[in-house]
Amino acid sequence: MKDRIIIGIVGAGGDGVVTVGELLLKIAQMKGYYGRLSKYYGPQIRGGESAVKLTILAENQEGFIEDDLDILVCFSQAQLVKFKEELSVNSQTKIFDEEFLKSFAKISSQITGREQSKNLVALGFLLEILGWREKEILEALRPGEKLLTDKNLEAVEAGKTEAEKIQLRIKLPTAYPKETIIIDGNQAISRGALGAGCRFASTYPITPASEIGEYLSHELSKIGGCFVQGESEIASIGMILGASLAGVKSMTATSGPGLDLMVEMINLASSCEISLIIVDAQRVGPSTGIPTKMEQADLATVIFSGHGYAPRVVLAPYNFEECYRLTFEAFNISEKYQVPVILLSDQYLSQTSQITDDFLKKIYLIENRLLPLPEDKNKYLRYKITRDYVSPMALPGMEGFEWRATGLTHDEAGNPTNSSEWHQKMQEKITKKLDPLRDRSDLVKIFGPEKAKIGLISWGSSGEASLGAIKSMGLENKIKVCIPEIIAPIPINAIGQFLKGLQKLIIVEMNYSGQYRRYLRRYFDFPKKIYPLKRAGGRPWSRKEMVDFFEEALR
Amino acid sequence: MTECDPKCYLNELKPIWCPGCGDYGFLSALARTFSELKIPNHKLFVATGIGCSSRVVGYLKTYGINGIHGRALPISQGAKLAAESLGLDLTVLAIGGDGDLFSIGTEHLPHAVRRNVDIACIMLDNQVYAMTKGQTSPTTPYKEDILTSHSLNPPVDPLLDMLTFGTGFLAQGLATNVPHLVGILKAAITYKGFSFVNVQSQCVSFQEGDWISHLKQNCCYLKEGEIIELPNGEKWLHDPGNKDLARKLVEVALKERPYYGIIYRAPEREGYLERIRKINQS
Ligand SMILES: Cc1ncc(C[n+]2csc(CCOP(=O)(O)OP(=O)(O)O)c2C)c(N)n1
Repeated sequence: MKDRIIIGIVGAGGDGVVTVGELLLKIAQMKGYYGRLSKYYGPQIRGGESAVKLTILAENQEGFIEDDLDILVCFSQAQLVKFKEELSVNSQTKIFDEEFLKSFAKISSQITGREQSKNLVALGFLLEILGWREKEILEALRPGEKLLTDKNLEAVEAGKTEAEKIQLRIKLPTAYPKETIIIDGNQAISRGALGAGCRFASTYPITPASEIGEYLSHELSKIGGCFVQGESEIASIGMILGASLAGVKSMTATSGPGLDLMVEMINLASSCEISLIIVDAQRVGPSTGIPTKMEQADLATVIFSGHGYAPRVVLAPYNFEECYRLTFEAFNISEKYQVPVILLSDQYLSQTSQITDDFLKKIYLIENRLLPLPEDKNKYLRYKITRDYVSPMALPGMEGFEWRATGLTHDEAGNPTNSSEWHQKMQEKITKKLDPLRDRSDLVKIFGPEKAKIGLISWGSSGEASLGAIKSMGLENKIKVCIPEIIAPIPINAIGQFLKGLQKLIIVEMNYSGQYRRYLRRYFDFPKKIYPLKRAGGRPWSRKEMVDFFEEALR
Repeated sequence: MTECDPKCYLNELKPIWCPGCGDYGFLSALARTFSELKIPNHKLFVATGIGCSSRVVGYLKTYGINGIHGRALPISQGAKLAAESLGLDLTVLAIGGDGDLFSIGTEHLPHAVRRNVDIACIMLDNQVYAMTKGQTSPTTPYKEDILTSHSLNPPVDPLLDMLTFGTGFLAQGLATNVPHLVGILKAAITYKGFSFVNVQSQCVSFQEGDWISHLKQNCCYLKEGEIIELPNGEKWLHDPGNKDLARKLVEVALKERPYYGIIYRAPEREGYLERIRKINQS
């Protein structure tokens, strides 16, 4: 019996491919399975070809890697060519091609009077193959799905009958309904933000981050918060900086091109010590790149961008739950250390839907900004150099604490100064206040046996893919894995400890030049043998490419 | 709250401006405005961009930020909306130069007008990039003979543009006439909604020609209910609520006749947050 089934569906505009994928995901959830759904579209704004890839899993597991299809339902041979990388097949894949599916259109016409519902015939067909025949499931879905009319349900049933004519049956172990949710990374981040106390957000639409703004625009107003769609990314980050100065936890979300526009304000926030959260859902760059595809090439920019030396914090979740949890962490760190925090996700995490245990129920501690003590009234020093370099921050409305932020080099009172001495001191302040973060070993995920001689280090969704590939090879006890979720400042001890005694090190990241490897090099000595697995983005990691690489490295 | 002297709004720092700079006049007008409106220091937030004029916030004893070039408007809107959502009665100003607000930061103007967040936006217009020492700005006067002109392009017309964007409160003042300027600033700050004030502020170091004499001598002060004569001979009773008249006033080129006073004041409209709240209630 298999522990997972992978189904790909592809078609032209109007074939209803995405609908089937989404329905199947919901049904899998109701049956008690886990899984994930990736959607792929052509470059058209609306309509046009599309494809989905649905992986149904028997268990919720740590690590996941995209693999070849078990079943391919292809409404259009011509469109399949465009998605052959995403919908990879092998000799075992059972393919139902355009020719085969022609009968589905006929069946749909007979039942509903239109060919359109052929996708629902396909749904029934797949349900039968999976052995998910219960009518109740579709009945239960009906209130939320206008599509499931009586006629269309008949089309689904007809699809089941069609499948009775063929041999193929693929069974997963029996599952029992659980409390799971369907969520993608953008939603997880949005929910995390609300949980962490975000009450102001401003974004400018950009793929693949737009859903965050869309979600927050609805939700914030319900809870007394405020959302503004800025006239640009510059405006958006300006708005949240202003809101943060007024004492409200604030966030923006963008992708590469928008991030570039935000650099000047991130720099200002670093210098003036203002809490800000910037989500960067990475897509293929440079320039407009491929807006709808993943890459991990913004790393250098989020760590180093901007003129002068402007320390900031960079966090990178490696899976969906971490998108949620790290958003709390991002707000907490930002508030505690009065620093801009960039949360790096990517298109794959952002827009892939997952059935997962309900992590939204988890509650995390919330930190707030340090406020001045009443006795400091009228002698308040905004940038007082304290033992931990964090100075209390007064908010508008506090009488006798008025201070003015400035991007100019400033002294303890916040007054502009041309003194190189103060410049040195303030550079030291904004750097050293972040030192405790270097010891946050809890933000460095380690898997596998401590004594392993082969190590793999990766970040973001490449980390999850690496774990998935290692597991699929049964090498969990041979290779140990390190996924730092804090990228900057560098978690020096945890990574140093991990690297100790390694003979071989594999470094996995999805960008052409190996940005993370170069970054680590600045701080650590690597083992003699290093194996960088890196390539430009544009498609998720596949099991095959990882397995081939790891086998080579292990030889 | 005890009656506060204008001095209470100024901190101990000495401005970096040149002696004779119009920004001194503006700063004292601003302090007097706060004082006359009796706004407590801690309920003031002033956001500025970068430039000589943007340094003004550094001399105040209020909350605020001297941020980056051209971005006073987004920052001030964010601060005001956040304060409103907290229920904090915060008076918020956005201040910048003509380069700051009408060149690098121009994208923000029409949208600030549309959102109608309750802030007063004040432009200190010296027709030059003063801080960077004399380059042309968007409002630098243009002479037909480009060989003797400082600017290669005709200037923008901030009042005309702002009225076209739909600004609800539009006024112009002169930095050398502090008492008059105080009146305008008070009206702008108390206007509920987005307001825009253009303040003619002389630059003694880089402004070309005797612009300030022109601004003083050829001007006309607008007083509600009094007759004004337009350069084309038309006579009107000044009524800031009359948009037709406002259109005529902003059509008159600054180099022909500067008008000081409230040019236009629309009935107060709902602001961004009110609109959000309304949608939510329905
Ligand atoms: C992004 C950016 N570009 C350029 C500058 C340099 N700069 C500083 S002030 C200024 C122009 C100031 O002119 P204006 O806004 O009219 O103010 P003024 O100094 O005349 O009061 C420029 C271009 C800057 N600080 N930031």
